[in-house]
Amino acid sequence: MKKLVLIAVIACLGLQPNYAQSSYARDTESKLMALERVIRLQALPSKDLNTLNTFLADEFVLVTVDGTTKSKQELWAYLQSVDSLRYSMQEMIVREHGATAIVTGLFQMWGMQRGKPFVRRGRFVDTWQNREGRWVLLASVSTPTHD
Amino acid sequence: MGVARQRLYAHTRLIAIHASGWMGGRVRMLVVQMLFLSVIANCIWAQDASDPGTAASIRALEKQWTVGQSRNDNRALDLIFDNALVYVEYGRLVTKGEYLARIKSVAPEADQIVMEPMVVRTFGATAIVVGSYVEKQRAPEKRTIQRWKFVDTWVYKKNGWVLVAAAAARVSNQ
Repeated sequence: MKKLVLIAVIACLGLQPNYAQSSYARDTESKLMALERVIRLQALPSKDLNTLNTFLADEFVLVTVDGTTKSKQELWAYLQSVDSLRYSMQEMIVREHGATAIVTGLFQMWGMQRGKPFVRRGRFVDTWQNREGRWVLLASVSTPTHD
Repeated sequence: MGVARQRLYAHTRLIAIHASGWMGGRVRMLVVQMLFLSVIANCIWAQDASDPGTAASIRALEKQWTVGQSRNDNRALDLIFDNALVYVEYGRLVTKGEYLARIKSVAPEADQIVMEPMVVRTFGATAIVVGSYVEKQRAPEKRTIQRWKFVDTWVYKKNGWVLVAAAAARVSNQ
């Protein structure tokens, strides 16, 4: 009987970290998806530089759908040049690698720049890093979808 | 980083030798242990930011990838790609298995990839590579030359650096 209890206790101890790990992964996944929504659906269209500054690393680099590289400052300048911007996102996937996470998904962007409307459709791949418990966006690349 | 590590080690040794003259055995041991830990901490810190050693390793892996792809060397590619790789090819998300299968089926040297200068930035166990390449498709029915801008993400895992994400955007001619 004692042996049985011991086995059960060991089994429970062995299972607990796995459960905690998957719960942590789910937590990270939902947190990163929420951050993506905050950035793309709220901060970018409203040109909320404070929020963007909080979640974009100072070393942030962006490669746009037309193959242009932009730093954080260049992204600010671009946002100032845009009259209006609207985003939609779908099919987000999160892959976690310790303190690094990759988020990819489909996006559609409608906007107006210097009186001219534009539409962009594509897939984004974002690299996030956890810095002392806070996720920051290191890099983002967007590529047009053809299907 | 090798030079920095050597300098730190020499510095630690020097302090330890000085300390040995006026300290008892236990205290001396403690000082040496603390200094050793500080050296380790410095080495870890030194890996961050723009570590030339890491950057060189990542560049070598990027080259290995290009060479492996042109030679249909799936075994080499398998080692440098993480199993959970996020790879975007012509706007389509493909798995590591799908990508390797495609590489295997493509005739060697069908497409030529000419790498251009790239920038490697390391953030601890994460490295971001931003660069460009020119793709020359040499099939008779579609001879094209196209420039691409890419972002690759590498993560240091137990067996070394592995590619966890890669995507490229075609550079617009405008």
